[in-house]
Amino acid sequence: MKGISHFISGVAAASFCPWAVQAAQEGNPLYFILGGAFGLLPDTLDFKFYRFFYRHEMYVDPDPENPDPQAIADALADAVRRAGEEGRRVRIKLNTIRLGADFWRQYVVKFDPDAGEVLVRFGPVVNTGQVPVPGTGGDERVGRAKLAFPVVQTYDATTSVDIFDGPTFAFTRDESGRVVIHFLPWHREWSHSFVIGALFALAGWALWSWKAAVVIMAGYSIHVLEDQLGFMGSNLFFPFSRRRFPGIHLMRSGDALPNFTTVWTSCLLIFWNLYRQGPPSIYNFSFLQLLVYGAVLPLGLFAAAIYFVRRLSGGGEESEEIDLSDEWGDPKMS
Amino acid sequence: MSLVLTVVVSVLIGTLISTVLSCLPGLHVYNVIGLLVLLVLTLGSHGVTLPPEVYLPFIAGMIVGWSMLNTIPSVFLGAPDESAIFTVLPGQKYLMFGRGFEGAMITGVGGLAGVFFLVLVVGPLAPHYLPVVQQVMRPHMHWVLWVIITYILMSEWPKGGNWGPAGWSKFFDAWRSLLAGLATFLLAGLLGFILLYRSPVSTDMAFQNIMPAFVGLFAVPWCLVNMISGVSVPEQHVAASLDIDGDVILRSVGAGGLGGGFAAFFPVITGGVGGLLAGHATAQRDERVFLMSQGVSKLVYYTGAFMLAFVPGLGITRGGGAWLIRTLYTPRTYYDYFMILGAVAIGGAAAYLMMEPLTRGIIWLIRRFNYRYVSAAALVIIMALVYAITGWVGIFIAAVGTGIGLIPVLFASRRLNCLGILLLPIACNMSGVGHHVAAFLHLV
Amino acid sequence: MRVVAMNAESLPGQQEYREQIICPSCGRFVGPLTRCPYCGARIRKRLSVRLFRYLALLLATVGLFFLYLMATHREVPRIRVGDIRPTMNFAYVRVAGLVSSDARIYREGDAVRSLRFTVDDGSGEIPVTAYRAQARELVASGRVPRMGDKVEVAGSLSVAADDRVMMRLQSPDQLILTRAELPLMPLGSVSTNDVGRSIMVKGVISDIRAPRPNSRAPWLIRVSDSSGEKGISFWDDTYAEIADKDRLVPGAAVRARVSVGTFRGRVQLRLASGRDLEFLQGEEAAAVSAGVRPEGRYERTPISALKPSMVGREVEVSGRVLDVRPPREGSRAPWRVVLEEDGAQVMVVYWDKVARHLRAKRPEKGAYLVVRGRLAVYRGRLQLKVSNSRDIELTRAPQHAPDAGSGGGGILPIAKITPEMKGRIVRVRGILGQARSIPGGVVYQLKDDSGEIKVVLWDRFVSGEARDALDTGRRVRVSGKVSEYHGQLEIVPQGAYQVVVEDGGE
Repeated sequence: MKGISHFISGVAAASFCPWAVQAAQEGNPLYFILGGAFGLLPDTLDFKFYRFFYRHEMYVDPDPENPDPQAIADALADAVRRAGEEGRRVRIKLNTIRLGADFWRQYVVKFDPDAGEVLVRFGPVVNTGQVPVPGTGGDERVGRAKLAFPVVQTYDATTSVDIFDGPTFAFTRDESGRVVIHFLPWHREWSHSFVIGALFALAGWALWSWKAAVVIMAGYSIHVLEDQLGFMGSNLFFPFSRRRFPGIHLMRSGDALPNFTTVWTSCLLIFWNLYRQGPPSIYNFSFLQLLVYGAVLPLGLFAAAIYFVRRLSGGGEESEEIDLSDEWGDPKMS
Repeated sequence: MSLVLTVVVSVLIGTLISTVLSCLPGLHVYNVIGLLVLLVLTLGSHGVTLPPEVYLPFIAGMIVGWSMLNTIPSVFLGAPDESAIFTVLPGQKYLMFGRGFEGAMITGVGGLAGVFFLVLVVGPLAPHYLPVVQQVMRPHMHWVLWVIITYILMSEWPKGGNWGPAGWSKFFDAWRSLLAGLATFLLAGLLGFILLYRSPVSTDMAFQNIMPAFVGLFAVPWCLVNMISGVSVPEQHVAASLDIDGDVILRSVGAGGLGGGFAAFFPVITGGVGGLLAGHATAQRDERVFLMSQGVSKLVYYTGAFMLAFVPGLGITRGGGAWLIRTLYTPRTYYDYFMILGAVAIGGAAAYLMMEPLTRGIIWLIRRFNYRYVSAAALVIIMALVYAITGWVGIFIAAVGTGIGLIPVLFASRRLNCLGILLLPIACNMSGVGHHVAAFLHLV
Repeated sequence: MRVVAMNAESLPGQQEYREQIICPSCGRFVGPLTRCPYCGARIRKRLSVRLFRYLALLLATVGLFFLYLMATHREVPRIRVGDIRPTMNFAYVRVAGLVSSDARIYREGDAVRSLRFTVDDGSGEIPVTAYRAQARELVASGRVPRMGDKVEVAGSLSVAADDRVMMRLQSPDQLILTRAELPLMPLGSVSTNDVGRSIMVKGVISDIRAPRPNSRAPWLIRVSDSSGEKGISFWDDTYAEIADKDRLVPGAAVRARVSVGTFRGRVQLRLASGRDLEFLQGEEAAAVSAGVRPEGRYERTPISALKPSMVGREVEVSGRVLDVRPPREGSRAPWRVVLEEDGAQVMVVYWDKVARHLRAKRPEKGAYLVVRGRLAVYRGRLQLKVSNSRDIELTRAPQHAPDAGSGGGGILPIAKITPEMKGRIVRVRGILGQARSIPGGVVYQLKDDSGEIKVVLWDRFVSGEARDALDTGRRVRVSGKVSEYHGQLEIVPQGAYQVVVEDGGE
């Protein structure tokens, strides 16, 4: 999920704690800040710290003057071969190709387990919003390399490499001799573990109180649980486990609908918790009324309007690929 | 003249003036309204009392016109206000591909959609629902500010560290922009504390205390960057149609309405912050939606915040425009509310009609005159305004603000961090620790 | 033009200054960087960009530092209230003057929400408001401005239309308060001419009327000195501020700083803060108590000297209680107390409205009383009619049990409470056990070293909020009437002030 979804979920979790609302009414924002901050922290640890220290064995650094898809495909196939032959973890980083302040050359990598090969093709020049620059069409050439070992996909078959930081793959050999492809191996590893969350909670207990610890644990855990709704999964019990538990494939991290639903639901829950734990109000309403007026009516009307407009125009929303910056959630245009 | 005619004429004149003024990069409508308030008060002290039916619609027209048309300099001259942070890059992209006209018009359509949203959706619902929300949220505004500050600081994407071997050098490369952002926020926050507790601006002009700092933080850096920029603007194509459809408009209204509405309702949150949150929450990817939703958000923020002051039974003051009119008038009844709703609708229509000719005019201007000269002229006008209202002290404050405002521009961090000037001291005050911080800084 | 060559056309915005944005060594885009991240080569930039980057930092830090120095060396400007103009909205200024009304403290539950007072500097008046933390600090430090105090206060102005001007106090340290020296006024001399003034009074409490639970009425205490008697009213939150509530009992000598107001046309004194009520001790208390009894109003008369010819006169008698006859349930008859002195007896009568306020000094067999009232004849017999609870004074408690009301009586071990003591007020100390809800109240088990007894807290006497401080395990001192229910003795306090938590608590 996007950062804001995790963040607001953490705040919503804090709002369920009576002491958080009580403290807030007395001017102390600590618990809500902790809820939000620890709701976002697992990704912060990965994206702002860990990834800069994550060592790669191989770097693919395409030449902007002479983009050669075959060289990239060969490098990826070589990494798979090494992992299969030597039985160790091989990490490979695909660098992006920056052409200007707002221009990037896009290329796409596709692993085809059935055909046992990897394919690479150069796409158009895109801006930081990933919108193709007019007049910069893709390259027809396709780099293709046979894989020495059968591979197992744990994520999307196709990966676009375009803006900001490029993706990393880690290849490991499993018991049956196949090579497992791990997408972004530095992400959702140790940082997305309940155990680490509990350690932060203990630190919070030492620093403030058990109440802070509960909020920290709630914020951290809800992030980990939300991420399990997606594809990549997380290493839920690091250091007791060493692998990512696969997600339940309900959504993608950049999808608009689940992200918006999470944010909206969290806002409603926060509002309800503040209302029911607050001082007596001159306005009284039930949770059902809140749902009707706060969710069913506005969102229903909006969804209906979108539906009719799309039917009239005959269009539909295209499904979107996953990329690194979606995971973090920073708009590409900021 | 009948009352209705007075209101219509006032709003049209206000809109017309503001649409022209809005083409001047960096000039904020609140600066002009500040001067207007000064004029009304001066007239009052000389026995000439203007009826509210004259100056309220006039001000409403100015705000609507400015918030819709200020996109033009954002796109063509790159001198955005603090709420146009996101309009800059996509708008400039359109500009650099010769589609500046289309970019500006898409944002303008967003503004028009924002007026519809305000008048037809917010207008009827606000008196019924907003007092309930306000009642529940009133004791909680302070932590909402803190939570937003936390999110702004935590969510910035590291701009560097994308190449090279793993290690500290890569880490520091990435963190340079983040640290610059953090430094910007803290320095702006310190400036905010100074201006809040010991502003050197004359007490007689205290109602414009923060204005020089805002000019320095947001307007001057962009004028300066434009002036030293080596980029030439390509030939602009005036399109006959816009690449948008109903789906884009609806999604833009959804995202922009949420962001602008959030910013309008919560104290101190500006359109930029609302836009950031709404952009993240609605996971926008389409640049057209992005551009248009910023148009919606900007209009809903500025005009909506002003409108809230008139919502019967709500009793809140949000945004600079509403704070300025508080010194002139206290809205009380549905009479005021309906007058403002009408003024917003008329002003919105008039402003949109002005959009195309003014955009063409700007295209002609930048074709005829050097892009840098326009920015230089704008800079001179803004600084003259600062001097006229706050004197040399204001110029000094603007200079300090410029220094802070240039940090994110030159170090590629978010300009949103400049809002620390309001967010930090006011969040501290609302949580009851502001005076401790001020005492620590020896300001009290 | 490498990019252009690759794309067959130039990317917009990159045609100019290419040598500064493309690495001359490896040919890759480096943007504003001065060192190529790919090959490490140095890239020469136009001076202006580099210069501005460092100028920005310099300007921000140095400029801010000077602005900071400027601010800290600038006095907050002092203005006259009459000179405030709309353009001064948000100005941070000082005003100095006299507080023209006692500060009002607004609360939300137990917490102080805000505090507001008005300052008059001769040119005009301005309300000053402190919110939350600032207000709490002022209340906690006892620096709540009161009428007549001299203040110098700094804060930010809020100037709205219709001349609505207000100052917001941003820091409690910026309120410089000089307390006004208040004149000590004899209670009898306070009149409607003094309305609006703040004065100091000294006297003995003769009666206390606590508000009924859930009522919005104020507390009312009557205080007498040698010159007369006046009522002092205050709200529940003021009561909560009184430091030693246990001493707030009839007979206590107090000094109070009050403002003079009126209620239903009569002079009433108002206590703004619990801190303004001081309990006197030692010689000062004795001196005040000695001078309390109004001279000349009641004739001090031995009971044996009372004659039918004196009917209609106001007399004061003293004696021992021989018998107490309460009215029958539902009857409108008065309470009747037989008082005996040197073998002579007189019937003292009073109605429920008096009996309700007697509390601790409720007559019991064997007690010694001083009673003031009007002599009357009923069915051929003389009787003394008492119309005010303060006209009955307990001079000595009965011998068989210490009076535990709230006066000076001692603590009674729980085991010593016997069925014979039903109807009497006792005072015990112990640890609270489990609470049990009953319709209309709560029952606590109270235990001391000698035994245990039930304490019944009726909602109408001790409200739910007043019970908040009570909890299992708390050490409390309880005064109340002994009664019996289903064969078990229990103590029934008649007001929240009769249950005092002694172990501090949270």
